[in-house]
Amino acid sequence: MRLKLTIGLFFALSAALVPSFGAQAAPRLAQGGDREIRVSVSASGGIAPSFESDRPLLLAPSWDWAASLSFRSRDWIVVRAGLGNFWTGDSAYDSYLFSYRGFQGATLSLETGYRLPLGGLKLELLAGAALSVSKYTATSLVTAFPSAVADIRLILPWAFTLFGAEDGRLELGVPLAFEWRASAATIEAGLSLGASIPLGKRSSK
Amino acid sequence: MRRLPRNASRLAGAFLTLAAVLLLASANACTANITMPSNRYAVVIGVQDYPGIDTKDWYDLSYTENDANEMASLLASNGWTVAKKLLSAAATQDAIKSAIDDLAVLIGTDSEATALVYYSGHGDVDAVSGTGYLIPYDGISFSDNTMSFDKTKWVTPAAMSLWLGQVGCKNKLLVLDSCYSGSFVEAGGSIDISPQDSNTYTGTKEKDVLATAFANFAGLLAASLDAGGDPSVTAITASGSEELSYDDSSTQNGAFTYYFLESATKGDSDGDGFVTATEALAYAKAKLKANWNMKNSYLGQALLPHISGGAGNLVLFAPGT
Repeated sequence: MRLKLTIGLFFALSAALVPSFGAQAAPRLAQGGDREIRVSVSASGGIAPSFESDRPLLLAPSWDWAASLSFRSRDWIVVRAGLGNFWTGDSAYDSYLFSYRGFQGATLSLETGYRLPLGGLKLELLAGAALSVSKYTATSLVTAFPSAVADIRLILPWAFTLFGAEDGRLELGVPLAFEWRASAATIEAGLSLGASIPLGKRSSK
Repeated sequence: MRRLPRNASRLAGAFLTLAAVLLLASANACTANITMPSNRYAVVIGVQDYPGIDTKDWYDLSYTENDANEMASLLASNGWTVAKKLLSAAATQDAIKSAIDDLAVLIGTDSEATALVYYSGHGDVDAVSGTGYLIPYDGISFSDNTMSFDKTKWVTPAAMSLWLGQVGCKNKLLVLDSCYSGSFVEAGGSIDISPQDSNTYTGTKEKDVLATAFANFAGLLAASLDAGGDPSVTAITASGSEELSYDDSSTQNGAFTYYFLESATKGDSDGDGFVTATEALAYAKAKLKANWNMKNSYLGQALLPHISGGAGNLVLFAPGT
């Protein structure tokens, strides 16, 4: 059910976006200042293979949403701090009916990175670390684990205005994470769709 | 009309293709066809009539043989081979150890096999050390019309861990319906926030999970890094380490075992055709809360099942087979 919801949500968001790739009326190109603070929200869905010693790698569905605050100076994204909520489902079974438990929880992340021009778009490459707490689904067992995280974000070339803030922008991303859990390790890989607005912007003359 | 540069369009297309691939892979992962493996073996133990005058001594139990008989039948109908069933006088400490030794021989080097040990009977705990015990038939002596305990025959978590450690497979389940059985549960890198005695709420309450977890992050992280125990053993217990377990005259089973058995047909919460250890635990726990605990908590007789930590999960029942 959750998987269907995740897939449905993702494609609904994608479908809403796809017409924009054609020719919608007069999109405005996003402009960036030299220094900028941005707040963003995003949702992602993907796969989460888990593995541990002497056990096979098994896939599970996953989704998450996150809110983040970033500070950029020219093309250097000095820091991006995020708070997110994630859900990773039960994995597939191996042929001996072993699987990895699903888990869900919250993550605090810190990343840094660089912004590159790419055709008419901008690409942000971010990497950092995260700390998560989670609960195994349908149990009262909680765990904590560190992760290495990375994010490849494509900034789409249109701007929107929200709550009076100009230069809002849409972002497509590939979030990646490697989670060192108690006995197993999990790789999270997905595709995200997000939106951000600047909180403050300053350009040099 | 303004179009994206060709490179950008290609890139955006690649993103959507990647999304489709990821989601299809993910969906496929959950729907793969699997048949029940044949290398699943169980030892089932029920100790009801301890040594004494008759079958109704005050310390005898009422429905633990029902538990063992029904568990053995259910496992057999779900593709398990019940290698040994030990009831009452047959369930001495030596016999239990011997049955698990035989299981080790039966499984041999088949590391992909699954072994299950089920026990329904008396349990106890050392109030000072907190060590839990299973009390086999010969753990109680009777002579000169007097009952006494023979603690040398009791089974500790360390002994059970040693015996199960000799079984050469990496999938092992230990299901216990006895008092204080929670002391057989390994943390496995987790912290169990369910109270060990749900009548006095020692430990923590099961709410505000993530807030509590973030507040105790350092302790949680330390626990995660110190997994401890044998990760190949998943223990499911009727009660916490400070809690009693009960026979239920209305169902003629152990209060926990009744719902655990019922989970085989009603506990498949994700509808994938399999009832995992976690699903069986969740079903039994929810039913105990709603039925048994609602009626008995005012007597101080509430109980909450527990399960080992660790990332792994095993299928117990396949209702469709």
